[in-house]
Amino acid sequence: SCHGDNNIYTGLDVLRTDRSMVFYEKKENLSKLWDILAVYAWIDKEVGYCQGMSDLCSPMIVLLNDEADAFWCFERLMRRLRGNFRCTQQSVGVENQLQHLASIIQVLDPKLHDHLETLGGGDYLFAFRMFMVLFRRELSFGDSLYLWEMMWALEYDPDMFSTYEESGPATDRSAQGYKPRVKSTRQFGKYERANMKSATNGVDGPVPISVFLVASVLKENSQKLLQEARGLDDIIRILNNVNGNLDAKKACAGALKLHAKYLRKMQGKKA
Amino acid sequence: MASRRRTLLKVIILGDSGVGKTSLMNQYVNKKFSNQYKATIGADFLTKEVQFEDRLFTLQIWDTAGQERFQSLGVAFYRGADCCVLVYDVNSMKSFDNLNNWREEFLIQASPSDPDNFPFVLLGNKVDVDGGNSRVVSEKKAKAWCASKGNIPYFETSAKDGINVEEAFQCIVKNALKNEPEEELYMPDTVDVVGGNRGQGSSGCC
Repeated sequence: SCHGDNNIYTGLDVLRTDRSMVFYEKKENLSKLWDILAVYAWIDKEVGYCQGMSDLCSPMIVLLNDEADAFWCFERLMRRLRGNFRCTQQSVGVENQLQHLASIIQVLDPKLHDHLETLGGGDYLFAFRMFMVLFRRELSFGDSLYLWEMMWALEYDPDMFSTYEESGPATDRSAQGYKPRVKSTRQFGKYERANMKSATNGVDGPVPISVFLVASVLKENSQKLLQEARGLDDIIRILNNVNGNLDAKKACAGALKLHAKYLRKMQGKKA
Repeated sequence: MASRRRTLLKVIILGDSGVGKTSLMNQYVNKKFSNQYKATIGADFLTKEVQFEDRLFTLQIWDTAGQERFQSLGVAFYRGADCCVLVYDVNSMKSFDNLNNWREEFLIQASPSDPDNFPFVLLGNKVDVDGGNSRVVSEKKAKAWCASKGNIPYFETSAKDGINVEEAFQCIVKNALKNEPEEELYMPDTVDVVGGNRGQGSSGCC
């Protein structure tokens, strides 16, 4: 089965999330984390609790004093991310994004893609963690907040709020098809604007910026991967060395550049 | 100089979430314990140089996520494993009951050439907890399970206090080497060692 016992995992993970922070030395803060994750698993029965969620939830509790506010922020975040955690016997939702990543690298750096594939990394599973916890393990606490804020500003869509209010937690944006009710494009984030202009969105809606962020991390390490990686283990070793060395601002700039390049190439293919 | 000895041993650690897989690996490799380890997301590995019968090996220990939901993602990481370490928590019956699942899932996903003789080692971890008073799985029960699976070696460990960890991994190294046919220990220098070439089932020519 998909879920096993939600409460066992929630309990385990509450006790090992950001424990180096003074904030979580307080029992009442730990119980907030427990409450929010348990209630979320209860309202989203299809996905339940999944490891990685506590990493996504913890910053909300640190930032927002009020437990209810923190819950709703986490719930809104999960509307974007719950697809990653959804699973069947054979697959986990995040594999969708890994496939997007594969096709983007194939277009932008075919040599790197071929190399990764030869080494048995064609499924891009080595990037799994970056997607599941949105770079929280690659960045410090402060830097991940900085990165999240930039990501969400770049992806900003003024219609997002109304779609949130209309639909229950069981529907997410990608499942509804993407149909913006166009206001002034200046209200949209830079990444979103580029997507609207190129109109290359498939039925799945636009690819989230996280895919291009991971792509930029791979591009950044492209030489190293091509020259040093002789197996899947080397790929993971090289990418794990990214830990703590990732510059959030640089990664965002890199992601936007790759995105623009990708859109140009796709337009070129269509023409 | 036409051939060189195979020196990489790949070990996979499997078991339920929270039984101490990451802690065991870190206690063995870095000789330290922390109660601040986060849940493992995806897979990670550490390496350690080990000596066995006057030969040097690089032991590559793979740590995986324990939530069942992620089991399907294991294939890529299990491939080419030389030994599989199963871990349960002696204070949790469920983690013991799930050992069958982990073992079977591994054999399906890694599909070793000789599944009946593939080396497993079982570790019953957290024997330090509560002075042993909260223990629910007896040594006898664990040993009976091991016997029923073709005499899997068994160790009772504490990653926290470093009890039996070194001994367990020495046994793991020994068992990882056991199933290696003699000719597979040699590889021509000119062959580029990529991916699946170094594991099981790459039985040369013919």
